[in-house]
Amino acid sequence: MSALVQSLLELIQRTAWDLPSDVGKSLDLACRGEAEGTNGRAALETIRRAVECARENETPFGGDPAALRFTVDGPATLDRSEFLSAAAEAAHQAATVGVLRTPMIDLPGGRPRRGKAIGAPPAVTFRDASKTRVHLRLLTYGEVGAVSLDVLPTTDVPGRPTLEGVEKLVLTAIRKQHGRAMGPGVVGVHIGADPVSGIAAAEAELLRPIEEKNAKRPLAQLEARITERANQLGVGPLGLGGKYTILATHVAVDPAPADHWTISTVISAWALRRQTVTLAPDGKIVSWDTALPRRPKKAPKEEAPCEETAAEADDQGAREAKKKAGGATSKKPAAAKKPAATMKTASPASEPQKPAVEKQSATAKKTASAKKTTAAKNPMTAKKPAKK
Amino acid sequence: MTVAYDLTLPLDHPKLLELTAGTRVAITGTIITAGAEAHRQLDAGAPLPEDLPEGTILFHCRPELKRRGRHWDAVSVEPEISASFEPSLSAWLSHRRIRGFLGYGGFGESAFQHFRRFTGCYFQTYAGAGPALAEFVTTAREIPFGKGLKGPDAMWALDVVEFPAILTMDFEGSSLHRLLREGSGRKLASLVD
Repeated sequence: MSALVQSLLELIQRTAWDLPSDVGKSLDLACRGEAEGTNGRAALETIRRAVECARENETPFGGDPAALRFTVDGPATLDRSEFLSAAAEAAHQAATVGVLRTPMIDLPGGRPRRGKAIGAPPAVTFRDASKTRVHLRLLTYGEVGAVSLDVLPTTDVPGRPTLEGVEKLVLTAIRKQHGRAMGPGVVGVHIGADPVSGIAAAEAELLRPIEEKNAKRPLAQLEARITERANQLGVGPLGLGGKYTILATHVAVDPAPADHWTISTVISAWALRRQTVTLAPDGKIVSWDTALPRRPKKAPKEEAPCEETAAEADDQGAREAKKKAGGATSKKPAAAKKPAATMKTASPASEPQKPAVEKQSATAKKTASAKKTTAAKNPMTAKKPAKK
Repeated sequence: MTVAYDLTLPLDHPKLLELTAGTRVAITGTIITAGAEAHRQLDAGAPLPEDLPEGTILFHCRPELKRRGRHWDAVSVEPEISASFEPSLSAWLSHRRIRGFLGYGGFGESAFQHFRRFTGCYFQTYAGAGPALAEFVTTAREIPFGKGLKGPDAMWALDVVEFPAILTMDFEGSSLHRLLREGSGRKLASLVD
């Protein structure tokens, strides 16, 4: 197994059982926010316990991940086809050791495939960044990591498109998912002209640290308003009623003609499983970084802020994390062969991605303007989540 | 932790009458599991074992277990989305030893007619919290059912102590899912108009 495949496998395993610290912190806050004795509180208490247990035993929470999505920020010289085949190989390995949902079913209602475990082909988005190192993010979706997508034209709201109209559409999308979205999670929104790249851009917003405020003032206000109002809907944790339907809203925008806007919404489950690593040129993991950097900066010559965060994260905590992640392979005896209960539509992740890739890197450059990431505390050193 | 109704199995008619949608319960007793494969075989006509525990609950779950000597320990018991198992509902209930279902997301409204006919109800547990829910399982043993079902796909009997769940669809036709969905619909209307 090459170093790159090994690193990717490690990343997949770790992502399945280690909830990012910013998500954990928000869930803690939500838990304290729900009144004692309510169903919502009970749900969040159990969820917090599950996050702890998963970390202790290195057992996936939220079910085994079903789909993988890599986002790669790397130098233009990065060999993309090599990365794609390494990602596919890592997915197979993960399926073999029982971290990914298996087996695949070719058609809804079909019989499971017999024989060798095959993981769903991962989706990969490449974004150019003038860096020597590769920053790799992984989002996984399982039964509970499921995301709900919605694309609505602003013409659904009478009158000229406004931010109030956007707010209404997003609230409608959130309500439509009542409980099915297994919240409270994060809502990623993209406002722009093209719905196809819009969904990808909305999903990329899930990678932003939860507490990070939008640099654009009107958008920051919109985010706060959507979160506040969504939490008045009463959907609550896991759709059981309560104050926390979502944890946060993150909005990105791209210019569009005045009367032609499309709103894309991606709603994550509470189990927002994402991890970021920095890879050395030989494919080995240099550092783990759950305090995610902003999207690549506008000026290509500038060093992206993630370089710094990565350097900071590369301390004792990261080493400890590596040690832990290395031992994750031998887990899960009984569940080594899990047939997929759900169907998957995963594409072989190469060519069709390209137009979206270009669009997205353009989006990224635009949105991530000034303001530096306040490098959140390295989550790996803070082992136990703040509890009780 | 918050107080819950102490539901010790068997689940019988008087207990079902006592429980209303929205009540949090702590289930103690033996429940059984079945995943997608077991349901597929059941739908294809595989007979259910005669000796299932009396007044038990069917858990939509493919448990992840670890062998410890002659016993099995639960590592993670993740509830599955129940809606996909709805077509098998009456097949389970007509066995008469199964009085309730446990999973995520509830059934559709048509489930109530089966609940009334056979005496049944639906509990929801916490999605994604499998590793925490496993702490309420003391031991597991396999129940012979179907053909070639192995590991998590097999039917398992789980001994549980104070397993947390919420009764969301009761025998008398009340649904917490419906109640909350209607509530969020009204609230949305007031927010967007």
